[in-house]
Amino acid sequence: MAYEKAYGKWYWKHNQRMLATYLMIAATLIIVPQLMFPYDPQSSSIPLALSAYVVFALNLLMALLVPLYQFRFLFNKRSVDLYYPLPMKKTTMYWLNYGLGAILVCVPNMIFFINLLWEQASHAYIPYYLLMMAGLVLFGLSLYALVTFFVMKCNSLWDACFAAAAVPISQLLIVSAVNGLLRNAVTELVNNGGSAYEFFSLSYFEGAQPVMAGFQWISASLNAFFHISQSGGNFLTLWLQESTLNAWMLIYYLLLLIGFSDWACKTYVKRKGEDSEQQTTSKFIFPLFISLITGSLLAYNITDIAYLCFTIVLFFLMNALAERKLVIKTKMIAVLAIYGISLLGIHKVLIDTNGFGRIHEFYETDEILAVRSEYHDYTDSEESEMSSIIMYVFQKDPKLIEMMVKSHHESVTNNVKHNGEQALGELIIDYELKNGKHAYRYLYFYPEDAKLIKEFKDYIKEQNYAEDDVFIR
Amino acid sequence: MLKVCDLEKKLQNHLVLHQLNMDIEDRCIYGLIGENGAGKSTLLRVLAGVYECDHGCVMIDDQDLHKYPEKKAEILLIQDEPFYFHHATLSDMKHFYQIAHPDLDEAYYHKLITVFELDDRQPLYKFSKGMKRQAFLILGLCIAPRYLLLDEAFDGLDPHMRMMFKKEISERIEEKKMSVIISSHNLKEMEELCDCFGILENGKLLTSGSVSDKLHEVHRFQLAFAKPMDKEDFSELKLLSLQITASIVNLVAEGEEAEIKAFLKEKQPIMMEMLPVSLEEIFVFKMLNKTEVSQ
Repeated sequence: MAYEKAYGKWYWKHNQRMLATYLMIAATLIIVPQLMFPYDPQSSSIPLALSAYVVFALNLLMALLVPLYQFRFLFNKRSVDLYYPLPMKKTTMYWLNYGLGAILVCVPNMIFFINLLWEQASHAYIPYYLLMMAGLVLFGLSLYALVTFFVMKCNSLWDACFAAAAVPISQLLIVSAVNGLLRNAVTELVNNGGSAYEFFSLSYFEGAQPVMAGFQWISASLNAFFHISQSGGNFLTLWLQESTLNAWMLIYYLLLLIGFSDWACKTYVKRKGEDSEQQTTSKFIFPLFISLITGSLLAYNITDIAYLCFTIVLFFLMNALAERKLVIKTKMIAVLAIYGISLLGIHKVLIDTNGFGRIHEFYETDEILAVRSEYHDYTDSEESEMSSIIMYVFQKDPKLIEMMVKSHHESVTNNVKHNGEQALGELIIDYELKNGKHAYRYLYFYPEDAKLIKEFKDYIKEQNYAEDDVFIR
Repeated sequence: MLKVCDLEKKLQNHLVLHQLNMDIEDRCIYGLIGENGAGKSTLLRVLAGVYECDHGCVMIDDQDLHKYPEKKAEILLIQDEPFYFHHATLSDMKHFYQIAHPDLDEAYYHKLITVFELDDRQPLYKFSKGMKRQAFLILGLCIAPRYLLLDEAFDGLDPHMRMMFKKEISERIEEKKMSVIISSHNLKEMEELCDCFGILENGKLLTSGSVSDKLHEVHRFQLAFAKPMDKEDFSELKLLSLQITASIVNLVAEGEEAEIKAFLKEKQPIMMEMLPVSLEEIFVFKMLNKTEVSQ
């Protein structure tokens, strides 16, 4: 234990200056938003709201940088000669460095807590902020554990930097890629409008990676604070209503944190002193990240040639980084070909099966809770039958919904027939669905639609909706 | 006692150390000799616990170094190019070494930095190559671990400094009862400094033992004969080197001095002279691993 204590003491002394600088920067970044946008009790703002985002941004940044800093000695042969002979078990050495690093990741949260006590206006929210910060610490540390694991698999600092950057980038790219792949299918199947979110539940998928989860978490927390400050209520219920995350996701992150911390430890223990400065050959670094990044970029938009060329060039550049020389191997071309064929295949399957039966243009009236529509007349004529009708607020009138659906069907037939030529204006439909989602449709309208639109307009006039809800010219 | 048993070590699929066995007694200076790439630095790294054994073990007092990491506190490796932190001073590095070696002799440290005129508050990157060597040797001597491993530690030091450090090492061994294992290419120096030595070739220990015993075991003779001689005439000797130029013969042989002399006298040389053999010559002959014959 004496050696561990001595190492901790030395670490503190050796890094004092760096820690002081870090504390100063973090404190400045957390306090400056409050000075720039001070809390106004008259407004609907929440104290320290901006600072919460800064804290999480710092958590993320540190989660990427700290593993590189803490374990940088692994990437230099001569420093390995200095550290490996320390009379400690490898697991002890790992947990010491990992633990000290985890504290560094959490420093912004600690500053936030101190600030919380100092900022009187925020006192009413202390328990909520504590809960919010606990979530942020969990997301930040999960990313830290992930990056540490990948850093442990690297043999040089450059490779470790690549891995640290690739972890969040590939996560964001995967989310974008799945979204893009589904969106492309939706665009082809739904005439105008529609999104991947309308037909698929992507929130869990997005929440499964720490960067997006953290920002969702802050946003949900602040919205819940706001509701409580305005109309009271149960904080946790409100929070979970706002957040796409639930208790299972927190357990998932806890498992992610524990699992990757432990796996990183095992990787560290298995590392050999002689691995330092050697080429990184682990399948978890270049093969994995090149595959994820390339696959994601291709999936995002495989049909665009310019985009495809960019992805191919990036693929070979990443391979050049891995091999430390620019080479084009048959295996690489085969990998690209497999990606291309697979993704085109997936795209075709999505189109042929209407996104496994989930993507559709129309909704049944009983699926719709409310409707909002806007007609924009290009001709802008007083005599026009289609003069603008703008309905701002959702109407739950079943008759109106039925008319809207009918109008939508008619409009789609005409849109297909005219293909955008000689359109008189555009129609925007926003369905609020009973499943809580929104479905948007953007269509042109043509002279054939005039009768229906007139009926629609007349009906709205008859209903005498509140003036703020409807505008009819 | 530091014991190496059946040690094997591969680096990037290349067998660097192969079935290596060696014993290093306490309070001795062990010279590790070998050509470039023979595996000296790798062996020192294994002994220091930087590299793990692929096969075999390193034992200190019958305890496996890799199973009992606390034993590493009894060893200190000073590399030919020691690592120091960015902008670190000698004092900073001393603090790092004190993690594993808290008993560093502060008074001796201050004495040595004064004797060697080193400023321990100056960043090490400002030091010359020789000064860096001095700085880390000073740390090694102040720590005085049970086993001090020096990887070509005297290279880059001027003769005066070498002499001073050799003197300090000798005194420290007496005082602290430590053992020093030095790898070097300077065999003359090793002969002067070391009690024991081991010659490494292609990861194997070619020969080892006490320097003085080895010097007594190997003998060089210069002989002149009345008639031209042939290498067959000396085949009964355990020859390390044999050079025949007509009737003049230069040979180096291993064995009892009296027996070799008696054998040579039987050949009735006109002249027979026994010349001293250096450790360097033994190394060269062992490395060549064959009898040179030129007629």
